[in-house]
Amino acid sequence: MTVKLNKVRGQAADGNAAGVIGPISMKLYPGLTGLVGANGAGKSILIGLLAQVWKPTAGNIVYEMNGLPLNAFEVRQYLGYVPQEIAIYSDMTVGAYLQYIAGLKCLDKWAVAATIRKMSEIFDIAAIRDERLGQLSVGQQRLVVIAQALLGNPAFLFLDEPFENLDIRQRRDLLGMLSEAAQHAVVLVSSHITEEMNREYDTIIKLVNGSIEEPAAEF
Amino acid sequence: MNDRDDNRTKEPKLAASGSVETCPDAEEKELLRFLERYTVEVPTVKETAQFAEGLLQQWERTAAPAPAANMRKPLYILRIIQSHLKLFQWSFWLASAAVLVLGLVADVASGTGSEVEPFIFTAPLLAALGVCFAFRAYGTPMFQLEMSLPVMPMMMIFGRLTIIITYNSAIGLLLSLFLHGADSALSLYVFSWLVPLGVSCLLALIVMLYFGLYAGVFTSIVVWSIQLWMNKHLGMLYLFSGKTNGYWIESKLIGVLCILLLTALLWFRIRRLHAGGRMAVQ
Repeated sequence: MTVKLNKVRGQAADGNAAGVIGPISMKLYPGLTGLVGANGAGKSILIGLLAQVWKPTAGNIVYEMNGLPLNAFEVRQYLGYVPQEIAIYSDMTVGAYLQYIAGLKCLDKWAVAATIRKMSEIFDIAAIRDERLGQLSVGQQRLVVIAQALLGNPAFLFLDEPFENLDIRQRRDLLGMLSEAAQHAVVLVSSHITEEMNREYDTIIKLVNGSIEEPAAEF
Repeated sequence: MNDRDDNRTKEPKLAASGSVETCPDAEEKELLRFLERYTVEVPTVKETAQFAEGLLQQWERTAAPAPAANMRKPLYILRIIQSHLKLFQWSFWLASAAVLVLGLVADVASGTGSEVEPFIFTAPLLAALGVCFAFRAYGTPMFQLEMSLPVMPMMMIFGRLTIIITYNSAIGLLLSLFLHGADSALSLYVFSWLVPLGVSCLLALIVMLYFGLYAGVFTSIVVWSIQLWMNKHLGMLYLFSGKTNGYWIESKLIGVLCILLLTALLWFRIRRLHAGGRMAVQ
């Protein structure tokens, strides 16, 4: 599975992610890829484009699985996305939230159970299953949002600042988990904590003013 | 992992030096002598076939089709609606039903001949607010997340709209049956509140999609208030009129036209939302 960006230009329309990015041409392979860059460099726009939240203003993104290109709808079925900001329904319980996302991904309750088991390596998500999301700490909310992205073991995983609001132990455990997921998925993680970008990462991409400074290494 | 990284870190160093270092002759001979011991025979055709078969099995295991691909369309739609139902807690359904019952009680208490029939006003406002509640994530990161999920915006929006309209209509129909029984007046009464309900829901949704959630709520309440306070003075534009009103048929026809127009506008808006790619996130 690969993700190929061909001269992609993009712009977010929400006013949060400022600026324009591109043209960007690169290829992402299975493995853990880090995305670094200063504030406003366009990391969130790039991840939004890859997660199909925004459409490129120019160029195209080709997702391939087993050598076959996927259409937009197929891509979404294999995709996990964590936005930079906490994306939840405050009045929902953790269990209902995960079931809601799983339902929209056409996954069954076993997928939710498997993800909860997996996330238990980082924190005891089962203990807060019946708690309302609005009552959780921001760190816990962040982990629940990460859990929804991991539902169904996606082949393409795009995480925008997932380590935000997590303590150092949780960050380390999450990185380990992502590294494990990256063995069979294309995982792109943006982070501003560059000092923690260690050998777990297979490639590091640096975004400067909407363009890639260091192209992704070819494996 | 470490070996792999070591190799990777070494490669650029070699490339950076501009030339690859070569071994001295003696070392090279020694190396070749060692390597000779590890020479592998060329695989036979059978071995190659076995290897290819193993690879194929591995490929098939990893190439599991996406869950939605295995589903029949009706089942898929049912799953999506079932999932959207999770957006509403039982308290929401209960409160909606309670308000509708209160509307019915007020309707009975106000008697016949009144220009303002409470139930005709209760059901549309409740449904419009229900639509706004269903789309409470609009313009938030949650909506961004929902847009990345394998559900087309058209299905997501019409799915939630259908849930709200169906629920309110079903409760409204039951209460209308209770009020009027199964006689000819029932259909006229149902039509009286069903048309403003449709107009209110669609209007709230469209305003929300263009201008945001609060604009949708505000517009619904403003339209409802104008209808309530001006009632018969609106003439044919009194969409919330009861069957005793002189312009009942005209106002309902205008209401139906509004529904058609708003549906077309909604269709256009959702298509733009999808095709344009850029969401109107506030």
